[in-house]
Amino acid sequence: MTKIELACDLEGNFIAFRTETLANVGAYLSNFSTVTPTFLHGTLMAGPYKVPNVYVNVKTVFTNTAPVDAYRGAGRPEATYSLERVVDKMCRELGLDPFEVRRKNFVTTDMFPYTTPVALAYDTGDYHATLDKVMEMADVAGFEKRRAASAAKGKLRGMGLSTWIEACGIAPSHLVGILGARVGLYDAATVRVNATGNLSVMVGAHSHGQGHETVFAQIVADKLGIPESSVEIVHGDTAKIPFGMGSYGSRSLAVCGSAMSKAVDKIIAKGKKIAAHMLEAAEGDITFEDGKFSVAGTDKAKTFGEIAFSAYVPHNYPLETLEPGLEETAFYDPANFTYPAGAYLCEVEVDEGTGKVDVVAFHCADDFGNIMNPMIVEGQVHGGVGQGIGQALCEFTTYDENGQLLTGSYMDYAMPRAEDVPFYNVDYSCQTPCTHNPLGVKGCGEAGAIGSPPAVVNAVIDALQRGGHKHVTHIDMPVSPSRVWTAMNA
Amino acid sequence: MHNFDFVKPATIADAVKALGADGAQPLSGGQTLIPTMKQRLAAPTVLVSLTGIGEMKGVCMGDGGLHIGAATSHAVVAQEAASSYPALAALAGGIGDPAVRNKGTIGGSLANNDPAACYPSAVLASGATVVTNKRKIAADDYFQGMFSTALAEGEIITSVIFPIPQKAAYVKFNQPASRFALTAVFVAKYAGGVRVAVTGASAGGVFRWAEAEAALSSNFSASAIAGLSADASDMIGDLHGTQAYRANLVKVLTGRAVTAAG
Amino acid sequence: MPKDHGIGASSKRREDIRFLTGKGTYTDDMNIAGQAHAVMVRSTVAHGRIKRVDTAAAAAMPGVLAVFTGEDFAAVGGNPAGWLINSRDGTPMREPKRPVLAHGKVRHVGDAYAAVVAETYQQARDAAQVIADDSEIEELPAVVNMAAAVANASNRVHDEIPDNVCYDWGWIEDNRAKVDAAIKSAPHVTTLELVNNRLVPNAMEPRASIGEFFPGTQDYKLTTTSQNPHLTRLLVAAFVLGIPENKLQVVAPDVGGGFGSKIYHYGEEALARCAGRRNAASPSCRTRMAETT
Repeated sequence: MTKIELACDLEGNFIAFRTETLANVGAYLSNFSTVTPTFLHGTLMAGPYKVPNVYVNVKTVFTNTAPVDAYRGAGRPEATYSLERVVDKMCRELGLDPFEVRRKNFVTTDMFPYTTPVALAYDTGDYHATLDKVMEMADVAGFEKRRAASAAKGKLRGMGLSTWIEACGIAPSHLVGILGARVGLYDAATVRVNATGNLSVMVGAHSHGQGHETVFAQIVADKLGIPESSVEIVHGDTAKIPFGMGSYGSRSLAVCGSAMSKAVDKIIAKGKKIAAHMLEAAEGDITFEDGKFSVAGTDKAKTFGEIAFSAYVPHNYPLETLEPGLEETAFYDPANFTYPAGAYLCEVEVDEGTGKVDVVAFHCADDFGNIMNPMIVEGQVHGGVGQGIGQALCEFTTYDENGQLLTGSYMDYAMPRAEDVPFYNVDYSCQTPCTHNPLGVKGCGEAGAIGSPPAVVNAVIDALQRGGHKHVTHIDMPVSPSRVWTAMNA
Repeated sequence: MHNFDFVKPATIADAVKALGADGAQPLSGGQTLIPTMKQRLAAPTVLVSLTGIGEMKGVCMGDGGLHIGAATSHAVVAQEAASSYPALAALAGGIGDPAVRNKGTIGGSLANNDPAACYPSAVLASGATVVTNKRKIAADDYFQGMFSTALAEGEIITSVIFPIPQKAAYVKFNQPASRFALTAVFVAKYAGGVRVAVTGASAGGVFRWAEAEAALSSNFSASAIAGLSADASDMIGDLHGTQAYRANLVKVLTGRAVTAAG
Repeated sequence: MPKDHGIGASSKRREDIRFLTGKGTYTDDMNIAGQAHAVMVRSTVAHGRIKRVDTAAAAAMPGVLAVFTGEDFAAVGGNPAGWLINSRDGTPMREPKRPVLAHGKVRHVGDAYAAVVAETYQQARDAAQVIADDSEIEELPAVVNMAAAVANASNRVHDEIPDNVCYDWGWIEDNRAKVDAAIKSAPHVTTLELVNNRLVPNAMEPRASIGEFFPGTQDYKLTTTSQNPHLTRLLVAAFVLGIPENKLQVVAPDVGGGFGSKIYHYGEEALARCAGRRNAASPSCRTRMAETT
C-alpha cells in the first residue's frame, strides 16, 4: 500500500516526490524480502526525471501470510508503477500532455553521470530517444482514428504511456555492504581451453530459461574468433563452477558476463606470451585477431588451436617463465549498477457493458546498451511484458480475514493467457552502452515486467476518461472486468 | 489419490449393477471428479465408467428434437450438433480446452450441476428432457440448486432430448482464472415463447429469468429488456465479481445473446 | 546484413533442442536408487499455537522411515534475511528466526511443522495426514490486514515484536525536511493511493529437492531447483545447519523458470539434506513442493 505525492508547478515541472508505503513481508523474512521494498525500490523513486526532491518511507509489516519475496523486477516495478501512475494523474489534473511533461522532466544526455536525490548515479542513457522511438512505433498521431474505429465497434479506446528506468546488476560489494547486504555481489567465470582448442566455460550465473548457454558461448566465440559450437557453458553445480552469486536482478550478462569477458582477456594475454615464444617475437609485437596470434607487420602467425595445444603439450614452451595449461578465472565486482531504461506505450479497448479490458497494442522502445543476441532480448521483453500485463489485468493473491488463501489454485488465481496479450512491437535500437562494464551491456530480463503495468493501467484510465467516465482517476490492479465496471458505475 | 477399483461396463444394466456396490461412484469424463480425487477430497472405492456404454453415445435427430447420448463428449457435440442446433454446438465447443472437451461429457456435466457449468443453461433454456435409466425429467424439474439435481441414488442419465428452437444463442463471460462462466446466458426462441437461462451468476445454480422471457416473447430484440434489471440479491458475490456486477452481466449478456440469435 | 555468428547475432538457443524435445533433466524427473520421499505436514490455520504434535502413530505406519518436527531443528540456525535494514532512528530491523520446521507457533497457512519420510510418496502422504490428525494447534486470531497489524499491538505474528513492524525505513532521511517543505510550498500537488497487488511466481517447474548422503566420505549432495546454487550452499551449510561448505555439493540441474522464486533457500531443502542422513537404509530423500502459498 503506497501513498505517493507529486509536487510540481503549473507547467508540470516536477518539484518533489514523496511516498509512504506499508509493505507486507508475510510471516517470516525470506532471503531478499528486506532489500526488495527498500534499496531495490526507494533508490528508483526519482525515475528518469531530474526531480530535485525525493523522500521515501517504507514500513515493512509481518502478517500471518506466506513469506513474500522478490519477483521479476523486485521493488522496481512498484517504484515505476507509483511514479508513472501519479505522473499520469497529474497530467490529467492540470490538463497537460503526458508526452510533453515527461520530455521536459527527463534527465538530458548532457547531464550524465547524473546523481539522483535518492543516491543512484546514472552513468548513461537517452530517455528522449526512447520516447521519440515509441511514439513513432505507436503512430501516436493516428490514435484518434483508431479510437473512432473502436468506438464504431462499441468499445472505448485508450492510450497509456510509461517511461521507466531500472537499476540492474546490483553492486558494488563495498557499497552494498555499508547498506546492509550480508553477501558480496560479484560473479565469477572460469574459462578452460582444452588441449584440442575447444572450451569449457564455467560460470556462476545459472540459466533457467534465459539462454545463457547460447549467449555466453556467442561472446566467448566472438572474442576468440572461433565457432560458437567449440564453446560449452557449464553452470549450476558447486563442484564444477567458481563461486558465483547466481541469476537474478538482470545481472547475469552485466556481472557474470563481464567476469567471463575478463577471463577470456586473460586467456588472450597468456596466449600472446605463448605465441611470442613460438614465433620468436617480442610479446608486445603479438596481435590477436580472428582467432590468430600474429607478429605485427609480418605473415608469421599461430592459430588459437595451435597455441592451446602448445599450452597442454609444452614441448616448445617458455616453461621457465610461464605455467603450462590455458585456464583462467576472473571475479568481477561491478563499479556501479547498470541503468536500462525505456518507453512503453499501450493501447486498450474497454467493453463498457462488461468492463473487460483488451490490450490491443503494446509498443516497447528499450535501451539495453549493447545487444548480444537480439532474438533472446526480444524474447525476454515479450515474457516480461506478458507478466506485467498479467499483473495489471489478472493476477492477485488474495487472503480472507482469517488468513486463508482464496486464490490457492488456477481456478481462482488468474494467469494471463495467449488471448490476453497482443503481438508485441519491440525495439532496442536506442543503445547507450553501459560505461563501466567491458561488454557495455545493461540487462534486459526484468524490463518488460517493470515498464508495462503502469502503461496498461494508464491506458485503461485514459479509455474511461475519453469515454466520459470523468470520475475514474485510478483503479487498483488487477484491473479486472468487475473492478472496471464497478469504477465506471460508482 | 487413494486406491480404488475401476470398472467399465458395456451396458446400462451392468452399470446400474456396478453402482450398487458400496462406495461406488459413476465416472463420465472425470473432469471434476478426478481432480477432486487427486486432492483426496473424494475417495470412492469403485469408479464405474459410463463412457464404454455404446447406447449412451452419439448425436441424432429423433422424436422431440435432438437426442444426445449422455456419454457423448463435448467435442463430438460441438461437431455433430453444428447443423441441427448451432447454438448448442457452439456452447459445447467453448467448454474448457480441447483436453476437457474430448474427455468431458454432457451427462457428467448435468449430473454434477456445477453452478458455473455451461450445459445446464442450454438444457434449461431449451426446455430439454433429461432421460435416465428410470424416467424422463423435464429441465424445469431437474435442476435443484448448486450441485443438486432430481437424480436419485444410482440413477444414470442416459440421454438428453433438445427441442430445436427457431433462434438461439449462448453468450458466456469467462471467470478470469478458471474460464468457467462467471455469468453466461442461453436464449432460445420457440413458437411458444422465449426462454432465458442463466448460469454462473446465482448461488442457486442455473435459473430462468422470467421478466426477460416475458419481454422477449412479445418483442425479440435487445431493446425489449432495456428497462429490466436482474435482482442482485440473488447473485454470487466473490473475488471475481460483486453481486451487482453479476446482475449487470445477466442483463448485458442476455441482450447480446438476443442480438446474436438474430 | 544481420550477423550470423558471435556478438549481436540471433543465434538459435542451443538449450531449446533438449527442452523442446523433452530431454531436459529436471530435479523431479531424477530417480536415485533407494530414494525415499518426504511430505510436509502443513498448517491449515494462519496463526496458531502448537500444543501437541504426536508422531508415534505415523512413525509406525508402513514404509515410514523417519519423522521430523520443529523440535528436531530447534538447536540449528534459522534461514536468514540477506540484507540488514536499519530503521530511520538507526535501530536494526527485527529479524525473527525462520526455522526449518515451525516450532511453538505456526504463522501462515502452509507453514510446515512436521515432516514424514517414507519409502513411497503415498506412504509419506498417508502418514503426514495421521500426524495432522494427531496434532493439536490452538488457533489464534490472524494478522492479515497491514494497517490493523500496525495498529493492534496485542495481536502479534511474533510474540517478541510488539507492533508487527520489521523496520521503518527512510530514504534519504536527510532529504525529508527539504521534501516536506517543497511539497508544502508547491503550486500543485497530486496525491495517489494505490496497492501493488500481491503475486505468485508461476514458473513452469515447481520446486523440488533431493538430498543425498554418502556415508563413505560423509559428503552431502543437494539437487534442487535453484537460481543460485552457491548461495543455497552457503545458506544451508553455514547459516542453517552448520556443516562445512566443502562437504556439501549443491546442484541446480535444468530449472524450468524462476522469476525470483528460486533465489531463496527454503526449509524443505535443509530437510531433504537431513533426511538423507537420517536414513541409513535409504540415504537419499526427495521433496516436492507444488503448493501455492
